[in-house]
Amino acid sequence: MKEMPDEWISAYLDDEMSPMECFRGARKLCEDTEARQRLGRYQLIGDAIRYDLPEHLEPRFAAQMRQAIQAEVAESHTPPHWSLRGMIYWLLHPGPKVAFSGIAAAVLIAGLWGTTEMLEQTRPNTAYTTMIVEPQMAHTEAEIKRHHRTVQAYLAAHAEYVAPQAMLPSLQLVDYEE
Amino acid sequence: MSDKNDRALIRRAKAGEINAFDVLVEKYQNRILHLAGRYVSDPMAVHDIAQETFIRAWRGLGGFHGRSQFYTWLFRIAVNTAKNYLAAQSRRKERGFSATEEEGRLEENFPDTTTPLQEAEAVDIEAAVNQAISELSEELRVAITLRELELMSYEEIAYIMKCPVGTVRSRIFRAREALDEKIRPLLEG
Repeated sequence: MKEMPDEWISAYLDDEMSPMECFRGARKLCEDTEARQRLGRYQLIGDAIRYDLPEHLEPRFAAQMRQAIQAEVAESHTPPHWSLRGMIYWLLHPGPKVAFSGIAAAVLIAGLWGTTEMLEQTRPNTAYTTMIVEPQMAHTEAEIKRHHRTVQAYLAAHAEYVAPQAMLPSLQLVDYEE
Repeated sequence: MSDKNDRALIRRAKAGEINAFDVLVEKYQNRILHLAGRYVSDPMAVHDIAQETFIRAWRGLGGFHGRSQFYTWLFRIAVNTAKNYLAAQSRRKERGFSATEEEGRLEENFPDTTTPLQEAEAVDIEAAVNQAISELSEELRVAITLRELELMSYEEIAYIMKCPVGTVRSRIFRAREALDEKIRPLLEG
C-alpha cells in the first residue's frame, strides 16, 4: 500500500517507526511548522477521544510558548546591564551588598598579600649596591672629562664605518668603571 | 509519541533548536494545562502555570539526563510550579492584597488571550470529535478507537482486525485526517 504524504506524522505520534524513520521524522518536524501543528492536532484528537482535554483550550498556547522561549533565548544572549529596578534592589537589600563586599574584600586582601610578597622578593640588596656604586662615585670630574675626550676621539677615529651621509655618533660619558 | 521519539527531540532542543522544543510543547500542552487546571480554577492562572512549566523545562533541559521519561520530568515541574503558585497566592492573601489588586496584577502580567469562544472549545471539540468518530467507516472507527482508547500497538490492532500492519497505519492516519477536518474550523475560531 502506498503511503500518504503525511502518514508518517500519525505513525510518529504512535511510535510506530523504525529508528531511522524516527530520526528523519524528528528532523522533518523541526523544519516544518505545518507538520508540527498537525501533530499537535492529532494529539488533541486523541485527548478528546479519551475526554482528557483541559477545561479551557488554548489554541495559541504553543505559539505563545514559542515567543516566550525566543525571548528567553534572546535575554540569555544579552549582556547584563544595570537597570533602575536592579539598582533600587541593590540599595534596599543588604544581602547582595554584604556578599559582594565580602568577595571584594577577600580579593583585595589576596591581591595585597601577593603584591607584598612580590615586593619583598624584588627589593634590591642595598648593602651589595653600596659596595659596587660607592667606588665609582669616587671619580673626580676631571677624570670623567678625560675619559670622555678619549671616547670621542675613538669615535672620530673610527668614523669610516659610518655611512658618509650619516651623522657621527656622539656619546655623553657620565661615569666609568676601570 | 513515545519516550524514544521524545529523546530525539530533546537532543535537538538541548542543542538550542527551539522548533524541537515546539514539538514537545505541541505534544504535552493539553496534559499540562489539564494538570494545572486541577490546582487552580482561574483560566489565566492555568495558562500562567503551564507557561512557567515549559519555560522551566526549557531552562532545565541541560539537567535532564533521561533517567526518567520526559513527561514524568515535565509533570514534576508542573506540580512544583502549581504548588509554588498556590503558596505565593496564599502569602499575598496574608499580606492583605485585595481581589481587585490581584486581578490588576494578573491582568498586567498575563494579559487575557482567551475569548469566550475559545473557552467553550474544549467541550465543543470533544463533542465534535466523538460525533465525527460515529460517522467514520467501521474499519477506521475500530482502528482509531483501539489505538487511542485501548492504547494498542499497530501489530496488536493488525492481529485483531486481521489485516497487515501497513493497513492499520493507513487506517489510523485516515481516521485522524477525517477528524482533523472537523476540528480545524473550531480551533481556528
